[in-house]
Amino acid sequence: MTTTEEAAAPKADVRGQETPSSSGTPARKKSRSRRRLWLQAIPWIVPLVALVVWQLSRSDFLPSPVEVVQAGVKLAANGELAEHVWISTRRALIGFAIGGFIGFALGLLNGVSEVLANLLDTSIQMIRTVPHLALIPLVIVWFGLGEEGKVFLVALGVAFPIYLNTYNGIRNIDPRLIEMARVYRLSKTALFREVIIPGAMPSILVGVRYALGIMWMSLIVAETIGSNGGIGYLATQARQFVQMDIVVLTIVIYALLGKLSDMIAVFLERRLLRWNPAFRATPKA
Amino acid sequence: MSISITIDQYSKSFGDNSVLRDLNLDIPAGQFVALVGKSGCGKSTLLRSVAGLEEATGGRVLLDDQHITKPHEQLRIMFQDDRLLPWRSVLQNVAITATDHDRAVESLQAVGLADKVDQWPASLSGGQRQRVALARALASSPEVILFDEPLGALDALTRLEMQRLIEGLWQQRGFTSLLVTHDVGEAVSFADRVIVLADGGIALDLEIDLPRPRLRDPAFLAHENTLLDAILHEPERSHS
Repeated sequence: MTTTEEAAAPKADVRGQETPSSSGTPARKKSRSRRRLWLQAIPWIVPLVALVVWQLSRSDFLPSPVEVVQAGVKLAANGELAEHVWISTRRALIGFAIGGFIGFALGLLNGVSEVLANLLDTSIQMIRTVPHLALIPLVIVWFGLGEEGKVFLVALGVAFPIYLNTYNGIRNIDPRLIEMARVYRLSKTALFREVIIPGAMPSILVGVRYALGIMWMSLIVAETIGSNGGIGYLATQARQFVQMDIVVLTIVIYALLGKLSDMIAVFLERRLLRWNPAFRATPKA
Repeated sequence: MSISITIDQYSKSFGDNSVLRDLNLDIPAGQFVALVGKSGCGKSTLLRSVAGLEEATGGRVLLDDQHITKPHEQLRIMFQDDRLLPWRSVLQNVAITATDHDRAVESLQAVGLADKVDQWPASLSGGQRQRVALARALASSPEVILFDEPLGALDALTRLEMQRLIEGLWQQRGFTSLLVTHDVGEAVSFADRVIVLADGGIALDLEIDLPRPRLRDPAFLAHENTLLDAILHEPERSHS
């Protein structure tokens, strides 16, 4: 369990296993590390090409990448950008914590108790399909224009993927393992700790990954309701003053935050599902 | 001190399908009994009943004097599939019943896997995983171990190795054993006594009094033939 070593394990190690294991001459090593670099660069080719095309195709309606970067630098310099990103991130995280907890708890309860699942699942599925935009008038009436309404929308969006995947994860646990636990007379707590939670974990993490995406999307919607801070506020303001460079900047920031969330989710999968060969980042010692 | 198993007027049906009917069987403490029979003859159901995993339709199962309604504290099962927790290390799997660390290691030593304690089950071979499952069953020093075709999924050589291992550990520790198998040869090489199940009851109860370790000599083969006859001819007899 050498945490730092495994946490820092580069993607390249997986690929290192695929290449022939003869770790022979320095020349070969060099060519292999070059190949690794190349492989890591591949995912960035499409965004880069898009960026170049964008810069070359000048238009009156769309600011060029350089203008967007300039806007970013200006806002970053006076501290405004960091403040808005922080306000949004805080809303996102609080909403995620609340929604994640509720979704997990409901998934756990319904996964374990058939009676509860029967009672609650249909209602949850009905609420799940209501679009966020349709809820905005209600949210304003309930919570006013403050923070609570925004956090509520994020929590609502996050709760469903976590609920659904926790519930499914628990229901799909190998019944033979549950039977084994019975024969070995595991206590209720031990059954949860040893069998149910780790057994549902792959599915729960899929839910977390979806939820992290939905978290930012819910926030965009939420921040269009009378905010006085946050990336959504920044975008709304810029739109009113037709500052297209800042509008595009906020879109890029959302994309980057989304990518960052996804990287965290992937890291969690690698860490928590080490036992599963499909997720193992480090070659076995 | 091992525990004896008493099966008393035991019946079990699934819906309209009656699998076991008024079955009586006494297994003295420390005896190694094998259950054989065609698939669907109810041998696995009987094993699961002794384990407390099936509810009786009629009659009862006793371990010593205790009426079995749920798994007994001193009983373990070794299943056909290893049923190891893939997210726990080999050692954690063996120590699952809160037995202390030293006993878990000891148990792994007994099956010859002391060097694999920190591995994930996924990195072991099928035979090794089954040995870990055996170590897990032994770790709490149970008085009864039920074997549900534990060698069925293994290749011939690994199976032979496992047979020797289980026989040796049984001789050493003297737990009462009930083995379900479809392999008559396996039954004869393991058991003090082989029970042939057919038509929901006992078709033959055969004592095997050969010296151990058993060789496939003429006496061994004669027992095998007797059992095969009992298994294969039984349905015809019931029709006539």
